[in-house]
Amino acid sequence: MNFRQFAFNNVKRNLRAYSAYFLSSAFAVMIFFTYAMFIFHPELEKLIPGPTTKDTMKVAEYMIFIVAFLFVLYSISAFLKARKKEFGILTIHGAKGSQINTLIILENMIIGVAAILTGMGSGALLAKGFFILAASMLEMKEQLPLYPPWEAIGLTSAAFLGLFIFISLLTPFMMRKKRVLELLLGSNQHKSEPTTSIFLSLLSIFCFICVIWFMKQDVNRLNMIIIMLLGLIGTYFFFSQLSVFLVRLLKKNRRFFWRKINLIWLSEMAYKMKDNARMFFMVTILITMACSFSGIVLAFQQQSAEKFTENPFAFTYNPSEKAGDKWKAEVGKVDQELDQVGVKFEKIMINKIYFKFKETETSIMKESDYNQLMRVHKLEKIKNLKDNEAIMVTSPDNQIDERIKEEIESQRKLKQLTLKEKNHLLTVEQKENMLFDAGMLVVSDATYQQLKQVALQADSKKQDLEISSINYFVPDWPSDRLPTASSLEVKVGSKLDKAINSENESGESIGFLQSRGSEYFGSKQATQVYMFIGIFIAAVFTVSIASFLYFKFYTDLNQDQRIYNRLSKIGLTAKEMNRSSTIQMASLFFIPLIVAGLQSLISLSMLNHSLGFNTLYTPVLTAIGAFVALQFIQFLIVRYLYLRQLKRVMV
Amino acid sequence: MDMLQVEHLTKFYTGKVTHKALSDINLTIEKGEFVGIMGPSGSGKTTLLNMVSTIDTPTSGEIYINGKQPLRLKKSDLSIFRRRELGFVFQDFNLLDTLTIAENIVLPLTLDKKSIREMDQKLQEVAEKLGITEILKKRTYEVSGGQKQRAAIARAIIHSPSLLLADEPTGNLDSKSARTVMEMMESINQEDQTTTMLVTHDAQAASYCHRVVFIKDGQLVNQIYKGENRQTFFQEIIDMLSLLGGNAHELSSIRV
Repeated sequence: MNFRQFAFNNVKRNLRAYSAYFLSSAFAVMIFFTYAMFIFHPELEKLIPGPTTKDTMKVAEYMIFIVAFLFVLYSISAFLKARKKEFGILTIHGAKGSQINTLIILENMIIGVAAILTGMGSGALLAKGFFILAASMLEMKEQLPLYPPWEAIGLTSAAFLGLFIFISLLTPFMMRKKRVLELLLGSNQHKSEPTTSIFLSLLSIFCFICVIWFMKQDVNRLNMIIIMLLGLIGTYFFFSQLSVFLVRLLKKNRRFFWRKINLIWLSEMAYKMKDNARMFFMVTILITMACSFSGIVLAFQQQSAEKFTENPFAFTYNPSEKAGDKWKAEVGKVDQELDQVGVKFEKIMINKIYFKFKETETSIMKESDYNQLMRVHKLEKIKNLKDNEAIMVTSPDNQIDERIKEEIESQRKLKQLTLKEKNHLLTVEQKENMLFDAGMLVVSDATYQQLKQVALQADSKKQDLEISSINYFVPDWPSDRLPTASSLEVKVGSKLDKAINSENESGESIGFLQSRGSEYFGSKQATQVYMFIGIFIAAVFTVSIASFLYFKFYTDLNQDQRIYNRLSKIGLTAKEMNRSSTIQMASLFFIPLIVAGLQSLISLSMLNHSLGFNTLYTPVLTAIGAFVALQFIQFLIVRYLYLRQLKRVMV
Repeated sequence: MDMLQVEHLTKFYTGKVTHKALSDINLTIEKGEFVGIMGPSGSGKTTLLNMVSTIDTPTSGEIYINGKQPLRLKKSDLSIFRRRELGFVFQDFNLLDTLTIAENIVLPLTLDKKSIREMDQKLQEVAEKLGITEILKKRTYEVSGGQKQRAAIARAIIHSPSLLLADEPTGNLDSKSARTVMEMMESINQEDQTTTMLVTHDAQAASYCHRVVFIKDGQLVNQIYKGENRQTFFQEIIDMLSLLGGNAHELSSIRV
């Protein structure tokens, strides 16, 4: 038997011990390969255009690779730990350090190559299902066919061969400096109780307090970086110090600790927290990132849906100021197209001027235009304004953009307005209406004409200071039903969008057509791609977190089995065992998730400020909820599998 | 009064080859009695102990412990029965490494939701009795084997069980610790009238019993009672063992 045969037989004859490591590696390869097959698909380009999308997809592939790397690294360290004793025996029989390293590297390569082949094989099988899922989620018109994925095969085997070689070279460092005795004792060594530093525990609390303080300060880049750094430090010490410290405090409280199974599970908690601190930290950061990301994407989607439902007009055309009367031809095109598809529509023209009063500057609108708008929006109209009357319309408090808040507040206090030259006075009434972000002054039609003349005289160069918009109201296309790819509104919208707006680019701009439907659908498609990638990555995350934990439990299984076997002999019931290990498992599964949830909410309130979202909480809570649900299902599975193993030793 | 009554106990291990581990064992242990079970390896000592411990079920026969029939209980009730009626001492101590000595000892009481005051009081009592008051706050890996075994005995008797079962309690100990442990068990038996059943290879340990029962090939073959002197009892045990065909070499090799 030469050394290579020894390594090979080691793997072949002890498949059970290697299978966990092998399967997790194969799983990582499979996910990576399936995704690679998707992004290298030759027909994907036609279906989802745009370089940004492709880049995003590549970023997702990198992330999967990083997760795979950590995953494989983690499984090998767990695997090597379980085999300590074997290496001890080899060493005591005279194997040199270099020989053991060679053995590990050879074994790793055997398992690695097998895992790559298996992973790609199963990945190819999985790909069909993945394509169907992708097609339905991205609302593609046709499904992606299978194809010979040479590029994906190349990338996957190169990436993972590299990874396995790298990890093989890394493993000797993991085994270094271990004395033979330690190796021989293997997992039978007693671990002394984990120590904590009160200073570092307090530092963790201090970091969190600072984060909360900084969040109340102005939002700027520096503050955000500080918050993130403090958050990272706080989280790390939370898991490695504070949690252990809290467990110790709990243990000091004998009324709690010396009560039923608490004595059993709590006594091990400190060890388990400390052992897993680094993993918890990593998992928390990953979940926080994933939750925030999916929250933002969901918020974008929600925002574009809101924009659609709030806009009663299917199309809005804004003629450009300098183009004179040419816009009439373009509007004609819209009319013609709508006639052709046979929908009734109503055209509403709205005019506004921007006017400088002594007190403030504001947009002005005719009473008749305003009432037309109100009719379409089904809101309250204004009744006959007199010539010296005006109404200042501002949006309600909760919708005011932070940046123009001051201006609007001053506009709200106005009682009267004065023209600069003459002492012409307008008495002002206040009114709230959610349609107008900035303030809008409504005056009678006659006053409007008068003010327009004043403005023209003041600035004679400006031919057209009046801004008009032609709004199309189509009763058949209500705004409360979101359109899909097959909706007529989207089809007509994208056709007109191309016809009118691309013409603008070629030469002089005549006007711009805003199509509610095609705009919504465009952003929906973009967010869907992000969502799809986000969901996929989130799923990979949760599955790998669950497998990490499963691994962790399995390395401890022998020990737990021994403990519960002993306890069962002295009278621990199966139910108590069940409860005790469920508490332990649940805390390992859900503590990082809870911390991540809190952190996502924190990071989200920062984003709320800087991005001006109003509705971010619901989507992020949805994202966290989805994570918890997924994790819960996996918790149940892992719990079932693990408890089944433990039940065997109960007498 | 009989604390343990074993009637016609038989156990088959079925497999490819059916193996008869115990056949028709009858054994009675009175309250306050200290009985040793001896026999060569494979004689069925441990099987008998497992049946009495209720962690294995016999093929036929009955077991009465303190007048109750544990074999008629459901599995979950059986755990409670063990927790309240039985005390266990194992060869490898079976203490939990994550707990302190004190916590290990009170474990049966915490599982039964006893009050802190009661636990503390009983803990002090048994710790003094076994001379381990000093090490109560230590962890299992900080104390010697003999101390561990004494802690295990403390755990086994803290809830005043009807029957104390000891499985090779001196098997992992040096001779001095073994002697201390056996003296402790003897004094517990004398002072508290704790009925004790001891399974052992070790003639020295067995010589602390009132009576030693010998098993060979799954059958009770003989029993001898202690007279006035422990030394002569020890000699009688040795003689009986060699009569049973266990060779002297095996016996002496037990001691570390």
